[in-house]
Amino acid sequence: MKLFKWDFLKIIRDWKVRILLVSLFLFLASYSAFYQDRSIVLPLEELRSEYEDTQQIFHAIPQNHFDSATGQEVYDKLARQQSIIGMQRYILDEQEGNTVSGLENVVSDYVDQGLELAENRLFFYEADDFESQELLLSFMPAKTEIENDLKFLTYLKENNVDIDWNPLSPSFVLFNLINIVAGIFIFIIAAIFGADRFSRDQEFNWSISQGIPYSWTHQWRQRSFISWALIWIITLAGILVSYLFSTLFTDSGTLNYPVPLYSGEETVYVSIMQYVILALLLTMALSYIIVKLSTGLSWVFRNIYLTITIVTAVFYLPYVFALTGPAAGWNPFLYLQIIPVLEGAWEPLKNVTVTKLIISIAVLYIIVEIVFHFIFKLIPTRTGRLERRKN
Amino acid sequence: MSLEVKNLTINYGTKTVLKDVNFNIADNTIIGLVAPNGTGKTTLFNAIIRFIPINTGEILIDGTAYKNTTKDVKALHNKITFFPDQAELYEDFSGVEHIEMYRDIWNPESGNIDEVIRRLNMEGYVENKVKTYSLGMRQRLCFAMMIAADTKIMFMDEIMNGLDPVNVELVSSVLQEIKEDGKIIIVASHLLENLDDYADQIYFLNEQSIYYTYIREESHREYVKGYISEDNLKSVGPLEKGTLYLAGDRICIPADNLKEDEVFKLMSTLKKFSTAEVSLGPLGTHEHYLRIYKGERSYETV
Repeated sequence: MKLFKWDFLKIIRDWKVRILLVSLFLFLASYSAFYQDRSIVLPLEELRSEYEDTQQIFHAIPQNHFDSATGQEVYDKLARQQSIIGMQRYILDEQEGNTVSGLENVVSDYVDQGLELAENRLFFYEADDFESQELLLSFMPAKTEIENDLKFLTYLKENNVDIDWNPLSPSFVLFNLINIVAGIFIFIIAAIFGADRFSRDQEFNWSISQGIPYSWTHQWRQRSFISWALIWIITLAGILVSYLFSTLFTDSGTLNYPVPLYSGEETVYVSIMQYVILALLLTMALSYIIVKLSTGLSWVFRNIYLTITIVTAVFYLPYVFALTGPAAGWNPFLYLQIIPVLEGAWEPLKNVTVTKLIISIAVLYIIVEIVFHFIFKLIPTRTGRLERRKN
Repeated sequence: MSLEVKNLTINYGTKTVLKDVNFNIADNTIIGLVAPNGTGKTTLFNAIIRFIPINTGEILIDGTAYKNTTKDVKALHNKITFFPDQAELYEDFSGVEHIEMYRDIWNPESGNIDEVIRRLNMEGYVENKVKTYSLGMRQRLCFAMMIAADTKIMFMDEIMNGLDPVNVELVSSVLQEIKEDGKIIIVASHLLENLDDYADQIYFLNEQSIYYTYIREESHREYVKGYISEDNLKSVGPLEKGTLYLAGDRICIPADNLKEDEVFKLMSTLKKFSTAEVSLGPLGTHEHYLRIYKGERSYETV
């Protein structure tokens, strides 16, 4: 514990560390401000496009194809689709929530209408005897997408959450920020923080930092933990400030708003809050391993640039292992990227789940521990580089 | 407590730096380790403290061998500290923080470091950041850190570098004080006369090993010591058998068979040929150094 205090002071008194911490905080805290400047496609505009598509369907499909019983049903549902989209556009345009105050009986409820719309579209996939089904479906979203829409809208209904007309609402900004932090961003931060934890002592403070009665493994774990804790104190503070700051721009949205989460074989919808907590916990766990790797490599190479390059390159390992096909689902190195797992980007590889992600993080932790146990045991501290005193 | 080194051999690649080094040091002892630069003093320290791999040999403390395992090295580092390089202090830490750090790491039970600071006259600057210190202040700080660590075995490499005469004397007297706590202190220094003030025994490293040792208190043979050029040497007349004429015109004439007036006459004669100090006493570290490293010459051969 006594050594912890001095290792902490050594790190926090380093001007490079201070500048990095301040920069990290400023970037994260101001993220929401920069996010407001991006060009976005409002849900309203998407609906406008869908409305035009529906109109074109009527022109594209030969009129006599609607004459059959199924054709008539398709016609009615398409007409209803156009009506629903029109009302949904109006609801979004008014920016009041799922309906428009005073006009509830006219415009009805966005979610109920959305559910009806999704079910109608699924009907189109079932209408095999409709002569222009192929043409009709070319105007429709993919079946999986419609099923996900259904889950999304069901979540809204069950949790009594309003549709959010604003993609810049604080909860969306938070969601995007977490996805950025959980990516290459945290690898680079972890690499930079760990990259000279030992090399600095080896280069500039050798005689004062060697020969102390603590094992290298102990010092490695301690220094890694301090760097990791500093990174996350600042990161969480920055994320919180960013979120609070974004609430100044707009008060729409809620942390209960649903976002997709890939859970093995299908997508489920969880609240942004749940997603943020899950993604942050996983990223914190993975980043601890990365900081340990970076700190350990700084003991091996004593070259900050080489260490940063190697650690950053580790982020891209999953792309290599993804080439191995379905077997990759059992490869712990595939899980060095968290967001593709949560988003289901590795879905084609099969069996890529959050549970396996958690197990893989534990496996990676053990691998790093074992590797550095041998490195610290087998590599002497100062072979071939004995320097004379400088005085 | 004792520190024993057995058959220690260190190679750097194909070059042998130390070969079959053997010694045993009892507690309450200060050893002066003397050798020209590049002879292996620092290597010897680094090997004993296991900073570098040992090719053959053993390090024993109180009869227990400390091998190159994590457990043994950690236990070894609990018992030994070595003198930090003043250029490698943490520039953004104060002197007090450095001393506290060494105390916390090696000697956490000990409380106050004020006595160490006071004893080494560091009160005036010890709260300031190290980057503001002069060389001498840094050296004293490094010494204070060792004192605060208070380990049983201390390696003091180049300890007197950058110290003014007053502080050399101060550090010398503190070394003698702490030795009495049962410590083993090995001091590598180029201030050879100063070593004679506090070291109990001197080790001379030469030809890859401990070439010669002598115990100061057991050196009783008296010499008249002075300086005289080779040209003037013949005019002094015949001198005692066993007279040493060393590099730098240093002459040491055995005085144990001379009467008091003969000694006085001899000293007066030497004084005539050189303004340097003429003294009477046993051969010191400086004379042994000249003898071993610069070549031993007897008066008769000149």
